[in-house]
Amino acid sequence: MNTPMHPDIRVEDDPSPAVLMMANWLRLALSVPTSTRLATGIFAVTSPRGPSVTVNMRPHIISLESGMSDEARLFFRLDFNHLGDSSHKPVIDGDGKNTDTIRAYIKHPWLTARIRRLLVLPFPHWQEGAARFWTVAATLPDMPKSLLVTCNDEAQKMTLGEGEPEAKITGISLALARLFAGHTILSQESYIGRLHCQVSLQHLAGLSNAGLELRLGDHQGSQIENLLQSSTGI
Amino acid sequence: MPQMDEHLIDGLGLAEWLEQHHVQLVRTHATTLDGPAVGKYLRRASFEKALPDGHGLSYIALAADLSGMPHFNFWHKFQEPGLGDILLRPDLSTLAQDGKEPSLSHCICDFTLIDGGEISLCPRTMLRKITEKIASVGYGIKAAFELEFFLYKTSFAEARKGGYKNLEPIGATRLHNIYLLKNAYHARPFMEEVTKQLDRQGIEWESWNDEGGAGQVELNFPPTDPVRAADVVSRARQTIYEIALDMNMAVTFMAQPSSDISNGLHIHHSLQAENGEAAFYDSAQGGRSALLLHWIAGIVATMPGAASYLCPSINSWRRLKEFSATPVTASWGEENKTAALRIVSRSASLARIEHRLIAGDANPYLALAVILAGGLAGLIHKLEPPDELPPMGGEPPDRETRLPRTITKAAKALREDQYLSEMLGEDVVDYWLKTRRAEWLSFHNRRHEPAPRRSHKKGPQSVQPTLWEFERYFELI
Repeated sequence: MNTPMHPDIRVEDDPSPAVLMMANWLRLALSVPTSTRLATGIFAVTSPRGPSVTVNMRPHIISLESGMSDEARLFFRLDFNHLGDSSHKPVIDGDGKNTDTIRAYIKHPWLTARIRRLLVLPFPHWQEGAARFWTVAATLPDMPKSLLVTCNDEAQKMTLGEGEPEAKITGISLALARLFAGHTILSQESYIGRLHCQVSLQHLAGLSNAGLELRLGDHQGSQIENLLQSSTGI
Repeated sequence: MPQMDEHLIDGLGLAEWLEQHHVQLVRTHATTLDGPAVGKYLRRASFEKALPDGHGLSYIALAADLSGMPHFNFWHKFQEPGLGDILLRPDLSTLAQDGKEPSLSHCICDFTLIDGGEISLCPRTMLRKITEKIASVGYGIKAAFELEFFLYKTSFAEARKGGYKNLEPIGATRLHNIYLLKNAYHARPFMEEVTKQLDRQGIEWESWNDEGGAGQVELNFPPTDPVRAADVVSRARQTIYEIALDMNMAVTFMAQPSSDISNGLHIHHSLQAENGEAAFYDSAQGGRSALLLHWIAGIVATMPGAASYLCPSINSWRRLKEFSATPVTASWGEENKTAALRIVSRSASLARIEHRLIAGDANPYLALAVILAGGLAGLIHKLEPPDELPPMGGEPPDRETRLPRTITKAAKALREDQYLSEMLGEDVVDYWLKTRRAEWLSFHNRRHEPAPRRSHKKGPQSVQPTLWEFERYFELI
């Protein structure tokens, strides 16, 4: 049976943005019903730009910290911008010289497979994500009263809030799912043209800031935990 | 411009002053949130024509990070009209001749709205407003800065090319000598040019000396009113940078340019009663007035949050080390340089507080404003200070409040500080916090230097600055 998983996800004291982003992504991804079972073990993931996160998975508890811990046995490379994207599988980070590491992959094939799968668990569908996003974001400063979202590949529209839309966002479903998960930020997405928006400077700031709040939480992930509690009744 | 002619500069009307000084060009100068000065060079006629409101410039001048990236992820009400202009309104009382070019004058400005309205985020405006609040309860303030910087034989161009690994400090030794005249002699040609140009600009300075780090110099200014004192620092930083550039050398105010000694920006301040007497001094109380104790209590209580302004950059935090000259606790003590606040109360003429937490890369206006805001909160709320730090030969006692040690922890402390929001304005504090989040994100989003596998070090907690910090702070601060 596919059921959501709600392990206790803990971050280090004074966490880095990469740790917070990974923690909040795990909270969201694991809230979606999945056939993936969590493994136990310690692994590290490095993004091409350099930030690394060590993930320690124990029964019912996942803890994250910056850097590559001495305790990690498995190492992966994955662009953190592609978390949740099954077309960008994490690569085993072995240079062929580190025999300890290679042995670890041979010794723990099941764990390796589970972790690779875990890292590409999808985000919630964009409409579900948008509803969750609005639950938290609507009360933040500089937000529009109403937002019209148009999904091009699904030919779907969704209005958040009430009244005539004060802001409009258009894009494909994956880009919208990432945006509403706080994984990407509207100002950057519109700058590079992945999302199109018609919005005032104030509302652009409000929507972008809301994305950052979701991505980074308040260092304990409470924002996103509140969000999950309000929308899933955990 | 009749109203301008009424404004006397050195006893002269503006037109007369410009004429008498053969001014052809005026450079406006305003200080951004992160500290660098921005402005324009204006033909004299254009400068005069734009008075009294000043000239326009994009609002980005006040709403971008140190790399020039506009802050699109947060917003302040001064940006209401969209991607529009704001003004730099000259404070004509600051008009001064350039130290080198006789036909050039400088003028310090405030950021204002296009209709002349105040922008609460303007650092100079913030400092002026808190000074006015203190005046409204009956006190004047005098403040003085100790400006520290590192001086290198290496030029800026060579430093950039060498990834800042080739910096050669001026001086006879790379040891930790202080006040060494042999070291000072190496710096003398440079400092002679600096002090000459400060003199020509009418900037008073007291003394300079060789400081503890290799190539480090400290320049001291006499006490004056707070806004003027911060103006002096902003101008001096620009002047010192220009002279280094002209002399094919390099200079930096960044807090921790090496793993060794750091740059601070200690601030001394005192209060005067309306009759001019030293308000911090009371001979009947052994030298310390009741006002001084409330004032200390306010600064100590708000210090964890104020640290966000006093140590504003990623680099600032590398400076704070246990058991060193940089304070790590919210503490105070008489003539005690291990405390964050060194109190001098042995005579009315010397009575003052020296705040020792401020990093060399702090914005002088914001740093002084947040310190005064803390003091005022202590006075208004009649706060009582914690016990005085005893003279120490070891680590501070456990009872002392530890200061935050990272940009994020200081931001958290500031967010929770009701006194500072009350004194500085919630909008101002909220915007500042978002700029600090942006700075933190930029640092973590940098292209990391290759790290060995299983390295567990986090950038901000080690002492050695990263290339990203040099590229961002070395020349700009």
